Amino acid sequence: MIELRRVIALAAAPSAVWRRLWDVPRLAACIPGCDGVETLEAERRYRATIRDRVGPFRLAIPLDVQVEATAPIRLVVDASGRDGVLGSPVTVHLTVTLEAGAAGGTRVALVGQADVGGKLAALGQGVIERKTRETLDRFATNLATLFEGGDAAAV
Amino acid sequence: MSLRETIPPLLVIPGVVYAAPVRSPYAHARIVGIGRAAAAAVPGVLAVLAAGDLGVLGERPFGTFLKDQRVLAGDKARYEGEPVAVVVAEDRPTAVRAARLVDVRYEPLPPVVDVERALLPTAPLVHDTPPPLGRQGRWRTVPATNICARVTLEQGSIEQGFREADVVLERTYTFPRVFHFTMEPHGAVASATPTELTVWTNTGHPYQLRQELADMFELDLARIRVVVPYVGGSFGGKSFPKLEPLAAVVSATVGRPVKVVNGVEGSMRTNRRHGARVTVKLGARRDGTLTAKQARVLLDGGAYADLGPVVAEKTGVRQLGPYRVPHYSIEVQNVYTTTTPAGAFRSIGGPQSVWATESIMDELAAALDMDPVELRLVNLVARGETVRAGLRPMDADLGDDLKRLVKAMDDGASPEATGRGVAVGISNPAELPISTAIVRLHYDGSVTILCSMVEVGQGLHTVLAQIVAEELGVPRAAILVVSPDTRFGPYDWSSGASRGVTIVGTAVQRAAQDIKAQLLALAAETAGVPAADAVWRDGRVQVGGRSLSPADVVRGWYGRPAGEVIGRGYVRNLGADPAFWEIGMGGVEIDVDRETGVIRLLSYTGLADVGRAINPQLCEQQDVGAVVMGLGHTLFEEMTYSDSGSLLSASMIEYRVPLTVDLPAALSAVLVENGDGAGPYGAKGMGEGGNLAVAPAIANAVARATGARLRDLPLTPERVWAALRAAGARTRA
Repeated sequence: MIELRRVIALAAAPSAVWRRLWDVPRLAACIPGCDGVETLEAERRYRATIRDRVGPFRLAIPLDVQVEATAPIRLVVDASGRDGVLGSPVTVHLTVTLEAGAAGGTRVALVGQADVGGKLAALGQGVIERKTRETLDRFATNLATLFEGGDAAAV
Repeated sequence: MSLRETIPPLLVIPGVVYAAPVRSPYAHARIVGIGRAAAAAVPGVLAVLAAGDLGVLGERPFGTFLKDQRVLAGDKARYEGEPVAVVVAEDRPTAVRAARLVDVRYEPLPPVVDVERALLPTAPLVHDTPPPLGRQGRWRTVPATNICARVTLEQGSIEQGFREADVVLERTYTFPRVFHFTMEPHGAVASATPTELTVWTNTGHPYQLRQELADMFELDLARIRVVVPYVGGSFGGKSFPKLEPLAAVVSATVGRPVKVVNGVEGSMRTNRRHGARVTVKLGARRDGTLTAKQARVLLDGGAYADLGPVVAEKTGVRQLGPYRVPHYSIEVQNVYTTTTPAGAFRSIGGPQSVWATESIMDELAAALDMDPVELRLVNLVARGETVRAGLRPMDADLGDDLKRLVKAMDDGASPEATGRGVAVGISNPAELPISTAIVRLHYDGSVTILCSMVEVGQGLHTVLAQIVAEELGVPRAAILVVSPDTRFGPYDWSSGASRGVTIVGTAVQRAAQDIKAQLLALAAETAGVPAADAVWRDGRVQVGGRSLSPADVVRGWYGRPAGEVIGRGYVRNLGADPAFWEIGMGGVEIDVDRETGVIRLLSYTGLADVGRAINPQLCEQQDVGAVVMGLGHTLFEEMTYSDSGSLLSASMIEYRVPLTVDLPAALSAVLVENGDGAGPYGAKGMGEGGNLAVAPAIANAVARATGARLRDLPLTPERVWAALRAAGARTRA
C-alpha cells in the first residue's frame, strides 16, 4: 500500500473550486497519462484509461472510477482496474477535501492509498512507489495550474 | 544450459506439448469467469483449460497431510500466483504468450497476509470448509478458523516452573518467509493413458508422489511410474507433489504428454519456508538452571497445508532445545494465509525455533550476568538423558561438542573481532525410517545399486557406493547408483530430514550384506562343501582352499559368464524415534560498522556431530553449505508481500541471496566422530543442522559487540543501524 498525501493551496474560493472539479474533461487532462474519461453515470461512475511506462513495460490500465461526493467539501474517489499486459491489479483510493484557505483561497487536501499487485508489484516496490508519487506530484501541479487559469496539458 | 529446460535433462518425449499456467494476480479472489477466446485463437494453442474443464480430476483434492489443494483453483484463488487456468500449446513460448491473453475475471476478496490478523475472529477464511485428511495426515484443521494445525506439548506444571525461577524473561522473535532458491526450478513431464501414468520429474519424493497420483487417478500403485533424474537442488522445496498433478491431469485431458516447467518466479510462487513469530518465556534460577519454558509459535503456512502440520509438530519439539527443562508448555499453530504455500525446507521448523531458543539463552545469560557458554553447559542434556519423554535419549555428548566448538574458535580467533556469539541447535530428523534397497552384483564384478532416495546434490550416491565398496570389496569405480524409477526401483519414504546415510545407507548396507551371505552359500554349493566351510575374508570368499572374488563366485555358480546375485535390504525402523539427534552448533566472530549497520563476518565455525563421517569432505561441504544458506535468512533474505498480498520480491534482483563476497573471511566445520550413530559404521545423518545456529549466533555476537539486541530477521543494515541508535539512546539516558 502506497500512502498518498498532498496539499495544494489555490487562490480561488472553495465554491469555485468545487464547480471546476466537475469539469470532467479538463480534470482528466490533469491526470498524467489519461487520454480521456467516459462518463457512465454523471457524478457517480466513470471509465478512464491511464497509459504509462514502468520499467520495461508500456502499460495501459483501464480503470473503473467511482465517485462519492459530499458537496461542497469532499470527494471520495475509488479507481480500480488491471493492466492489459501483465493483468496486474491497480487500485487507487483518494479522498479530496476542500477547506477555506488563506486570503479567501482554498486548501485542497489529497489523502489516500494506491496499491499495485501481481507481477507488476514484483518490479520492485521502490520503482512503483516512485512512479506513483511522481504521478501524484504531476497531478497536483496540473491541478494547481488548471485552477490558476493555466492549461494543465502544458505541464 | 538453460535453467528452465534442464528438467528432465536431455529428455525428449515424442509428441510432448507445453502447459503454461495462468496465475492469479490477486492474493484472494473469487473467480467469476474465464475468457478463453483470445488465447485459444493463437496459432499453436491446443487448449485453454480451467478447473471446470478437467472433469473429475479437476475436482479431486491432493495433499499428503491435508487434501486441500487442486491442480487449478476452482471457485477462488488463495494466493497471488496460484494457477487458475492453463494454456496448452505445441511449444513453450506460444503457451506462455497465449497465457497472457486468458481473460480471467475476478471478484477480489480481502487478503489475509499476517498470521496474527489471520487468527482474529473477523479474519476472512482462506478455506471455507475443513479439508479431509491426506494419506499421512494426523492433524485436522480447526473449523471456522484459519488454523491449519495446532500442536501442544506439555510437561510438569508451567506455573510451578515459573514460581521456582529467580529470573523470568519473555521475548518475541520473528523469522521471515524465505525461498529455497534451488539452481533448478520445479519441472515435470507427464504422460497419462487410461491405464497408466508416467511422470518424469525433479521431485524429492517419488514414492509419496506415486501415492498421491494413484489416489487422484484411481490407479494401482504398480501403474504409476515416477522417474527422477539428477535434481538441481531441493532443500525440501521439491518434496511432496508440486507441478506433477497439474502435468498429469492436463495430459489426461488433452491426450498428449505434457511438460510444465517453472522459472525462478514461478517456483517462488510454488513453495517457501514457514515464516514464524515465536513468543518465548524462560525461567531460571540465579545459578542459571532452567526451571520453565513457555512458547507460543505462529507459523505462516500460506494458502495450502503441504507439510505444514508436520512442520508444526517438529517445531514443538525443536522449541525445547537441547536443555533440561523440567516444566514446559509449548503451543504451535500453523496458520493459513493468502500467501505462497509453505512446505518442507532444510530442517523443518528448525532455524525458526533455534533462532528464538538460542537468542533468549543469551538474553538470559546477560540478565544473570553469566557467560553464555557457561549457561549452556549448566543446562545441556547429558548423553542418555531425554529432551522429551518418548523420544530417543540424547545420543551425543553436547557439552564436549560445545567445548570443542569454543576451542576451535579460540584457536582461530580474529584480532579484529569485537563480538562473538555461539548457538546450539538440535533437531529430531529422520522420521519414519522406511527404506528398501536392491544391490545387483553382476558376473563381471560390477555392481548396480537401486534405491529411491533422490540425489539432490547432497552426495548420497557417492556415499552409498562407498558403503557397498566397503562391504563387497568392489572398487568404487565399478559401482553404479541408479536414479529413482518407481517401475524398477525399490520403495523409499522420502528424500529429506537428513535421513540418507543413516536409513537408506543401512538399507543398502543390508542389501550388500545379503549378497555376501548368498555368495558364501553359492560358493559352498559350487565347491560341494557345507555352507559353513565358506568364509568371507578381505573382500573375497575363501572356500575349499581357494580364494574367490565375488565375480568368480557368480560365474562359478552359473557355470558360465552369466547371471547375477541380487541383494535385498529392508529398513523399517532403527530403534527409537528419532533415528538420531542431529546436532548443529555454530560460533561466529563479527565486527559491526556503526555508521552503516553492516555486520562484518570475520569467522564462522560450524560443528556437526556426525557419529562417523563416511565421506569427511562431503560432510564438511554439507555443513558449510548449510551455514551459507543460513546466512541468507539471517542477513538478507525475505519474501515480502504487500498489504494486498502481492509477492514483492519475486525476482532474482529483489530477492537477495548470499554472494561469495558475503562469506565470512574464515569458514570451517568441525566434525565430531564418536561412532555412536544408528547408521552404517556408527554414522548419523547431517546436512540440515548447519543452518540451525547461524542466526542466533550472529545476533548474539551483535548483542555482545554493541549492546543492541535484534529480534527480527533478517538482520539488515537498516535494522542493525536502528537497533544501534536505540541502544545508544538507552545507554545515554
